[in-house]
Amino acid sequence: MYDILVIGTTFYGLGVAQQNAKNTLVIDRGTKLGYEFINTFNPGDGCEKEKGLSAVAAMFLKKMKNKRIFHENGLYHLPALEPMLCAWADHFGITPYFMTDIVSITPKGDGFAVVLNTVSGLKTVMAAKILDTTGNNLKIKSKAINSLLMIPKNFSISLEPWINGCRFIYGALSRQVALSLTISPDDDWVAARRKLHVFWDSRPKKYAPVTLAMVADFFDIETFFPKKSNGNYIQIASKSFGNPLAALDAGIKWSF
Amino acid sequence: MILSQIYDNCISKSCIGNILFSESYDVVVAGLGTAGSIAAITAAKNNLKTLGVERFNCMGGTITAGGVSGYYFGGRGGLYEEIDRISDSYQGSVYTNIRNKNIDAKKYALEQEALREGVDIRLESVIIGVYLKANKVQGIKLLSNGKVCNISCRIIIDCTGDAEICKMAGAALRRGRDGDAKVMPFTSVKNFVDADTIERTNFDMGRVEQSDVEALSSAIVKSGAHYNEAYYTDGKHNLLGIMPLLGLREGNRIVGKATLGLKDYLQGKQTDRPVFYGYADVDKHGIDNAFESETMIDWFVACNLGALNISVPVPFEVMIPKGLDGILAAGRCMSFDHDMLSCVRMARDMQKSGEVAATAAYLAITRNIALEDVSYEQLASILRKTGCLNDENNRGIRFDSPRKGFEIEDVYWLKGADEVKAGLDSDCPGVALWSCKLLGEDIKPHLISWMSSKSVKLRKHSAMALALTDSVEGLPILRDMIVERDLTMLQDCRKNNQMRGYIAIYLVGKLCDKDIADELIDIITNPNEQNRDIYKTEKGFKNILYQYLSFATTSLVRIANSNKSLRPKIVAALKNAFDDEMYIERLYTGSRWGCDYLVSADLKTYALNEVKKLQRGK
Ligand SMILES: Cc1cc2nc3c(=O)[nH]c(=O)nc-3n(C[C@H](O)[C@H](O)[C@H](O)COP(=O)(O)OP(=O)(O)OC[C@H]3O[C@@H](n4cnc5c(N)ncnc54)[C@H](O)[C@@H]3O)c2cc1C
Repeated sequence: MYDILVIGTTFYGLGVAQQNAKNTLVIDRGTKLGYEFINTFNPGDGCEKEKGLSAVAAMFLKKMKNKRIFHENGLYHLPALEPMLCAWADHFGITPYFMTDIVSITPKGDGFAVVLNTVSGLKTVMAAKILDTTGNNLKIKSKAINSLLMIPKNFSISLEPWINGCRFIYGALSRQVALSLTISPDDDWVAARRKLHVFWDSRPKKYAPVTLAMVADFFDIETFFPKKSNGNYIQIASKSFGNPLAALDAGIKWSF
Repeated sequence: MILSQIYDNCISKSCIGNILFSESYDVVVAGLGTAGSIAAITAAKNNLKTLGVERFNCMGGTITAGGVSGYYFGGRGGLYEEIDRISDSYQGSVYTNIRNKNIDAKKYALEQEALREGVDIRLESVIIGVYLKANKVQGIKLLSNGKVCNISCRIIIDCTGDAEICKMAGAALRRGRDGDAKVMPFTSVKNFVDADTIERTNFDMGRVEQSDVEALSSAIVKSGAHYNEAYYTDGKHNLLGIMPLLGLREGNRIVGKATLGLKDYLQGKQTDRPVFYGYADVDKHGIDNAFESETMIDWFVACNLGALNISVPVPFEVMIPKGLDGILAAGRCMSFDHDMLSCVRMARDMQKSGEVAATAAYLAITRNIALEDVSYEQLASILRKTGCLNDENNRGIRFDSPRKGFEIEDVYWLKGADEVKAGLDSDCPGVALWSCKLLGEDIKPHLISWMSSKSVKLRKHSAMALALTDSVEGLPILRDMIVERDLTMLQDCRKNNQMRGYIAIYLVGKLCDKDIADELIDIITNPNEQNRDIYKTEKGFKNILYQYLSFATTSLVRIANSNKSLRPKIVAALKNAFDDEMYIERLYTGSRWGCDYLVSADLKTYALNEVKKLQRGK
């Protein structure tokens, strides 16, 4: 019996797991950590102030600064945050189950019997609580597909959004810019990629040398009700904490 | 009806009476990766009602989500080339122009082509059960969007890279090397910006059992952590991202109606009913060569033919799991042995395998016959039309390289004594050595006479050739090569040249030569061995020392197994050499994770296990 089953290897989910790695099972259908910020290329609203951070989160911030992943100007070199987060999770003994789907959840006794589908096949686990940090079952307020851009060295025109729903997110490195394109909440991956492709294919001529370098593997989603709970089944979207550090810190402070 | 599912890697079958299917398809393609994407598009192009199921959120698998953006050999022709042309047309206009294939352009081209042909694409979905009547597949249990549903189908094409669905249906599987079941190492591919384009890394990181959720997840976290740097500068090689799909080169493979093995191939046992030709070198990865099959060591190490490309005619029967109907395997889980898989696994060839499987499915469905009854002539005729089967891809055996300007050299096994002699008397004796293996007794008298030649090369290579034909006459020369730690690197191979000293160690082991035991014991036990000049140039992991230690160990075990009186001495030496951590520190002082550490630790485990076996056999 796990104390808690955390759904989502998000910053928040990992923060919760850090407190009690042995008795927490973290599962995710993907293979990434902290993807809601890192792999959407969107660090959110910047970094929370150092004051009031838990010791573990404060150390995390210090490392991000030392490694030049988080710069004084509030900008991130987000792709570099992934290896750091992996090393962090490894250090705390957090080994999630990746590529794992929930087949069913049944209340049982004081907790839940959860049938998982993993690369090892089906597996039933028992958990006293379930914390879903993905936001997947919350109502979507906005959804975007993002992509890192390749801006040639000699390109000097500044990027300005030319329609509503298109914006640019700047990273800490030179020429590190992500395009964010708002799509419909109902769009699946195929529809989203089509919209992105068509949108960029018809960009203003002056931006022709700028190309899509890496399309995000996760949707950039904001939800309406960041929190929802039903007894011991709790939903809190990690993304709703605003930025990676705030989400991690909130997870670390989560009360069992 | 039987529902077959996997619980914690064990198959569980239950009789469930009749089942109501909510949807029905002709073909279900499981895994829309390299092979599966092409299989699904081909099936739909042939007007089959096709469902494509993919665990990740895109099509393409290893060549998109895995970041393996470039082709390495393989054969030209077939549907994949049409899709590549579309994908290439987006490079530079929408997606970044890169040296190889832009993975987002390829994802998009595959998706659009699949939609155009009418494939029903279910991304982020997995198959969690297979329905069977006796040995024939009837349908699947699908988990998609959090919902479970039952879908009937006439044929499943398993393109999961791990034979996951064949396993679920009860197919027999094999995995890794015959000796120790170890698979080729994986790579976690990292993309980075290089000038105005994107490049990727590709080095061996470790080995993992991909159907063990804890092991696989841990490998993913540790591979990510491997790219954790002390400090990230803004300049060259800025990190773009780590690919979401771990680069797994080898998983479970089906036991098919036919199995393609390297040994048979090299003995000339090849099908005359190919559905496509595989083409590459035996690109085996991993440095623990001493644990490969004898054929592989003879080829890759003793003859140094690691860079010799072979064209492999692949028969359709490697896609049919033995004893099952209504299911095929395509991609890297086809029925190959481990040795052959290291060659026939390249992205072009895997895409071709998808096209073949779907074409066979089309023939079976439209003619209402079992897959194994599909007519080769009809299948080949369609595949020839699309270019998937193209006899021009049967390029024989040749030295080839992806490098521009490389002069390709066709290779024929040597027959005449003079040409063999000239080959052996060179820095590149590989072809002559393998020719001797094929010539056997016929060349032996010549080899014996050449051992008294003045030419050092001819003498030594003749002794090696004799050992490859299981003849002991060359042993004195081989022993001398070991004692002198012959550091000559043969030069046949453009990437993995092998050293004569440890080749000789392998060969004396092959001949179970008891007179060399003391010298081999000295190699593994003497703490001063590592101070010899031949190892001094090595920085970081000491690969040459590892080769000496691993071949000396495996040879000693062979000698001990064939010679009872030497057993106690060899057992004591193995214990002395491997019983403590000092052994690993001779090779390596880095982190306790990654390929270098793994192979070092594996050698220790092997040696200590052999000690137990030898002690039991006393
Ligand atoms: C690191 C690395 C480097 C390589 N470099 C080269 C190179 O330079 N050139 C070259 O030509 N070849 C290269 N290769 C070889 C080649 O890329 C692969 O062998 C080939 O892509 C494998 O194709 P596949 O279809 O068998 O598997 P994949 O392409 O891996 O497809 C398997 C698909 O099945 C999906 N899947 C798995 N299980 C399930 C399930 N239960 N349900 C639904 N979907 C599932 C996976 O998500 C994946 O999409 C490389 C391979 C690796 C690993």
